[in-house]
Amino acid sequence: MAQQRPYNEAAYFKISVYLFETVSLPFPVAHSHFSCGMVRYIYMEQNQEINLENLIDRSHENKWVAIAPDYRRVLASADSLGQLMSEVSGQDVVFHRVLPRDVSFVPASA
Amino acid sequence: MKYPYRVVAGGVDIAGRPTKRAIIEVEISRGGPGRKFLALVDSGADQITMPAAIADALGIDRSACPQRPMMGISMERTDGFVAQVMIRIRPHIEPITVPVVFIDTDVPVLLGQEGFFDRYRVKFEKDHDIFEIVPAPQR
Repeated sequence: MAQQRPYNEAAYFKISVYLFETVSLPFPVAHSHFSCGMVRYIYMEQNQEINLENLIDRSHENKWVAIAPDYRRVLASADSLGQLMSEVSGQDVVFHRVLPRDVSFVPASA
Repeated sequence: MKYPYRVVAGGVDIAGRPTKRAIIEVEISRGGPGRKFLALVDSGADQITMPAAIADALGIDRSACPQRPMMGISMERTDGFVAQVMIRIRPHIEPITVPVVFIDTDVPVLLGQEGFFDRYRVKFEKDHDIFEIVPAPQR
């Protein structure tokens, strides 16, 4: 349920049709209004379920973390990815490298 | 498909606003069971780049792979090696086989130009805090 979900244009269209049929909004109005406004808002709110802000704390900085697939909790963390993979071997997890919060990130090779 | 920029825990930009990055979930495999990672969509990276630990987990023999030195903002060369892996943007996009440069650092998974931006059309809309990824037409 909490998987990352795409921004679904087909869903927009269905909701626009629903509004057209039930609230009698002219279809172009329903579609454009909701595509650009409420539906986008609702969708984006749902998508915030992958909320790293609430999931990651200072204890995870500079570590790899294994996140539950529903993005509700961190199952394990380790200094290296290899170590973490060994710890959670066989589990369905999402791996994530947690960067320090007090630095700007520009990818570097060393 | 459009995705929201993700808020980085505790991070703030120069103006003091929460730092947000273009992060998506990808599944990485070599045809067998995949492993899921959060990856940064990085238009500044020449190639898809991953820590070598992923190659080890996938059973890639680095001694049999072509070498590929990398250089980042530190301007120091780092040895890397290249292997083909399958990546799938979760949840829906079909997997593609791409070349990946693996390096011995704990770099996050970076989705760079070769293999990602040349296979997907990526449109950043930072002013809306969303970005769009759609398969590019075959050339």
